[in-house]
Amino acid sequence: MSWFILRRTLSAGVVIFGVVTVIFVLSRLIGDPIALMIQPGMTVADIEELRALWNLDAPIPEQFIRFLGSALTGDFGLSIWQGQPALGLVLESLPATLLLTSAALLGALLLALVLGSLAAIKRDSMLDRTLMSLTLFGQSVPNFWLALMLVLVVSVHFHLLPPAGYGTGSHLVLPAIALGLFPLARLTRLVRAELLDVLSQDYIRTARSKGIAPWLILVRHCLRNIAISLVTVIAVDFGTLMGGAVVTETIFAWPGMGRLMIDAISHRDFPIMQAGAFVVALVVVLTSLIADITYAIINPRIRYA
Amino acid sequence: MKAHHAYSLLKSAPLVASLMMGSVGTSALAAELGTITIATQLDLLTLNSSKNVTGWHRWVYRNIYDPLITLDENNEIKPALATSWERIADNTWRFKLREGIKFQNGEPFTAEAVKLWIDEGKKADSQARGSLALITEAKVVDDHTLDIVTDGPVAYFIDTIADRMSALPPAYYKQVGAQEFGLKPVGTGPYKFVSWRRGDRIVLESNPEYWGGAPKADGVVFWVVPDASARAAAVLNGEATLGTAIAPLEAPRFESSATARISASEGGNRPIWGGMMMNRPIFQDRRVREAVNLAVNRQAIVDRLLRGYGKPMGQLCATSMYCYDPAIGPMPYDPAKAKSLLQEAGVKDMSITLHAPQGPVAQANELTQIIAANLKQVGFNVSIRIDEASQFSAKLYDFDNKGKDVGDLFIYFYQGGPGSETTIRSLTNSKGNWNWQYYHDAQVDAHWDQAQKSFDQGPRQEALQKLSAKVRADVPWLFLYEPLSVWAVSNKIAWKARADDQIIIQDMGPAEK
Repeated sequence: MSWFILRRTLSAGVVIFGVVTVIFVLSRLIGDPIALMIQPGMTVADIEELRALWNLDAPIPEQFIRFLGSALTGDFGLSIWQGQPALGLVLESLPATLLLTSAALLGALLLALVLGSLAAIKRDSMLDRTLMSLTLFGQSVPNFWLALMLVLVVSVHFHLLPPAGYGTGSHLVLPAIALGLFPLARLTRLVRAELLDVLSQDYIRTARSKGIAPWLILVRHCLRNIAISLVTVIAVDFGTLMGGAVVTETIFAWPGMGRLMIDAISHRDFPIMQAGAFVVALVVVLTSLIADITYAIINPRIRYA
Repeated sequence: MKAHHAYSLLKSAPLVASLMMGSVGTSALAAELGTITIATQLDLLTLNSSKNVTGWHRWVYRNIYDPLITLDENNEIKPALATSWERIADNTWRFKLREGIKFQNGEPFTAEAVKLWIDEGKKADSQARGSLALITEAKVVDDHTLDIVTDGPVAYFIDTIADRMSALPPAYYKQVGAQEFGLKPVGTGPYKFVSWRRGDRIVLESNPEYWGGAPKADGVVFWVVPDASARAAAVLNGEATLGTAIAPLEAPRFESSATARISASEGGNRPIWGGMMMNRPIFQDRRVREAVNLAVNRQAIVDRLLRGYGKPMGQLCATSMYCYDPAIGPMPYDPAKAKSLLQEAGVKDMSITLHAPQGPVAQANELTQIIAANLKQVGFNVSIRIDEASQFSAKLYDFDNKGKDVGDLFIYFYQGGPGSETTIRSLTNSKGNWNWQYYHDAQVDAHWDQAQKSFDQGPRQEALQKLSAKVRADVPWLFLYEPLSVWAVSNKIAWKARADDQIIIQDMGPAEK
């Protein structure tokens, strides 16, 4: 087990290094932050001074080596526009994004287990067909449209929940629904499909013939067996949502990382982009590491593979 | 040198002071306004007022800090931290500062505090630097007298610092350093900083010790709501008192609302204009440039894209600027005349590339399509190019290659507002560092010089009017329109959009019943 974790940690390090390198190179290709800072009255010397201040005057390989050197010590530099440590800014906005993403995924998972099981058990019934059409809707409805409709109906018309903002549980509900609908639809379909597969297995028939209560069969035998595919999908979804929460964060004024990153990109604020890419890569890699370890816990055979 | 007062400051100073003092003891009002929540489109980059002077920063700064000189709702210059000022030499201004004022941490306000603001603002890491480029030095004369030396005589100097220049508490600043100060600011203003959750909100509370009398609100919250329709919803729903930058598309939602209304400015501080590349053969003939102008139906654009919340232009300067000449009307829409001008010039099937950035110019796609259709009607062949904002500006700044990648006619904006003659000057002066269209005209340069040297209102106004008339006749620009500032206002308060787009809590009152 420890060898397994060590191996995974090493490859995680390689992935993170790769992501940070790619972001460093790409960011230099998309434009010059200094061009966005030029104001009337500035002289060429002023502009050169600005470039030197942010180390943008050195050749790119040199900039990269300098960046790596300080990044290893946890220093990602100061934000070009905000003058504060870039990593600190990213870490400050991380909890809001993690909260939103986790709430959306957790809600989606719990609901998907119930709805997916119902659909599988009542296969081809009216309920099953309705649920499956709804999942189709959930997978195809654009996220931003849903978010705006939620605001319009739930907040502006019925005054049930705040239209935007951050801080209390009631602020979390709408963005979590807007963000969680897609994974909910996907997970519901997955639970249903996997369950149908498991339900036709011999051991389920055996369990039934032994007279075990149907709900106990479902929880003990069926859900356990579909856990691995669920964990895989959730781990992938978590990474996708971390990056995909931008639109939801913008509409609901959620002070998360997505918005910080989008602002950084439009301002060409390289240090924030780099620190952000590092943190996202770290979170995604950690998630998949946790997923791998979870596999091993769920299915002992994986440990020895 | 004869002492000289800009405008009629001394006369108005005691009046303003007495008005401010007059509000002492009216604490019943504070309860009535309660906490004002302002839903804004952008978060601040720093709370250090010397590092950024853009409008949305000054919304917040205006409460924590006081400006040296301010503007009233009609854009008239008024004293604030400075009680009076005079020009003591061609390039030197002397400011008398208000006495007996304390910073929120108890430090006394002195000339040193203003000098610190200027010195910090001129550092390379300050985004206020460009607007302070005129200043070469700030000299403390005594505790309440400060001299500011400019790079040559600059008549519009006072305009450029109004509502921008403020003061930093020297002892506290030295103790915490610039970086920390940007997170925990201390000023002389009516509201004290409480907290800043980045990307979410800045919370301020009333400063009962304020030198200008008790503040009208108990607290002010600047709440970042980046999505325009969410901002509208927040005000409609009563979660915010004021919403900035409301999309005209949202305005109808307020017509039937009992809780909130729309307030729009009379002019716009972010005009949209078109620059013709004057270094290319196609725009050498003035008649072609005029034809381009006559072909475009500004009113239709304003009605269609801005639902009427816009004002067609016919000159360089926008309504709220000192260089605006009300005698010059908007450019007429006259496609027939455009056609005959082109015929006269012997131009047929001329090809033009129309170029615009996505982002800085709102609805760039729709706008360029309408302009292209207008131009096609009079016989131009138009191709459209849309770029992402920083790609676009990189092409503009490619002075080494004479902007070869910029389209023949580019659509852009400029940051207007009172005191932004510097911007227009940078755009149109031969030596201007924003002269992306390579417009060189000796007369225009001479008018600018004259305006910069004329310290008396009359001759200066005259020089600026000549300038406006000359550029209108020369048509190096495709004059377009000023989008108005559209605000959502809760019916709980009385408030009107100002010409300078500032939000000043002191302007607000309880709703008139």
